[in-house]
Amino acid sequence: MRIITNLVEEIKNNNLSLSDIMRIQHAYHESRRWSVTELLKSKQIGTVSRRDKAILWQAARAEITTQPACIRLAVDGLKLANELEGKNKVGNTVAHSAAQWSARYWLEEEGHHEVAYGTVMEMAGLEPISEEEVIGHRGAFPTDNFARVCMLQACVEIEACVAYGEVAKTSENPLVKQVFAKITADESQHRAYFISFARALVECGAYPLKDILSMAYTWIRPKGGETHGSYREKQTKREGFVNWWQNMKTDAGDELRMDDEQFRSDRLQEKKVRAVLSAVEEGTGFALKTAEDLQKVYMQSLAGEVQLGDPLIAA
Amino acid sequence: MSHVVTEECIRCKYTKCASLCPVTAFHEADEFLVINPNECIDCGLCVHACPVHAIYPLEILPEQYDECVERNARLSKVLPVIYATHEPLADADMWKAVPNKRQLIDATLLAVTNRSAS
Repeated sequence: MRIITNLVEEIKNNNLSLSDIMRIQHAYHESRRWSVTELLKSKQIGTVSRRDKAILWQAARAEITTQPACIRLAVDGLKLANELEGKNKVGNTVAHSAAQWSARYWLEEEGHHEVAYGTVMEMAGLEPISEEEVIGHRGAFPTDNFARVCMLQACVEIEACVAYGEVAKTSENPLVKQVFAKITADESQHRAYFISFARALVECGAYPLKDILSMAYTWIRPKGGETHGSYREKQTKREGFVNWWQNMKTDAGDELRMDDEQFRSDRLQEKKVRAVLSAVEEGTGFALKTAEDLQKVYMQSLAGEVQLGDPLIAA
Repeated sequence: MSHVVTEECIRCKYTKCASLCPVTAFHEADEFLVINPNECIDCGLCVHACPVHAIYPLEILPEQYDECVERNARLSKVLPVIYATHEPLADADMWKAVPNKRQLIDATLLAVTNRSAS
């Protein structure tokens, strides 16, 4: 039971077929399965703090947006697989692997999260999310370069891991703590899958290295990076919620506001940046310490001066 | 379940794992790290971050590291939490290739922590 982190090598050297990959994905999914119904059955929630209510309100809505994200990746993965058929055999298998994982496992696990957070939020005394709002959060995601999307999703999962992990660590409510811990662990697995797909898509030659570096840099660049909150007109008006964490309620007087220390304190922001850099290392082999290092290697990749697997980029 | 830091960490202590942990479950001794099994949520983020492959999920922990389970549980009760990455120990790159490092755990540390934890 494992996540295949080196897909291309396994396909090329160990002759792993698409069916083999699916069996491994399936076994891993089954091994990690948990039941929302069982977890919440007969549980009393007790007292829920204002800050826990706030994150429940946000997280329940953020998880609604995952359904269109999963569908986008499944559909675009299939389209890419079809484009690569007959031209890039390994790439074809990689794209199908990403599409099937997204359609079958990622989508299902994100469904758990939506139900779990929605239910706990209501148990905490907050209003159910209206159907209009649910539908509003189901906005379709635009098609994009598939390698970039995989890296983007890795970054989104990192945002979720850090924000949810903080609740799992600091909440004083046992049920809230338990639900957030379960979901943080799931999001971490999703992150690993996305990195493995991004890496494989570059390794098999379907996409250039610059694509995954550019997305990572878009996420953590010091000025206007997604993780720091970008308020550009173009981004706030885009369709769907590519990065929900930009849509937090933060108004001072709002009972359901997220305070900075809950999701964007210096400590948490540093953790997110380090996690994205670590994702870059897993995806490319480049061990980088700062966003500036990432910018340099991204620029070098644009000029074709670096390749996947180059040992290290001088900072 | 939980993840476990094995003796491979000793005298290396790269610490990248600790800086990524979403629930800050790592604790540090002078020469190695341990995971608090009561805090670990089994997300596995730390596993790939470790350049010496010192961290395993409990369910696939190789037998030779069995004693690390108890050591992680015991020492995490008394060692300080680590929040951020430090530079690795000075000779980390040399020590990462050395097998059987458990005898290098400082006996004094173990004696102190034995008393504290009991």
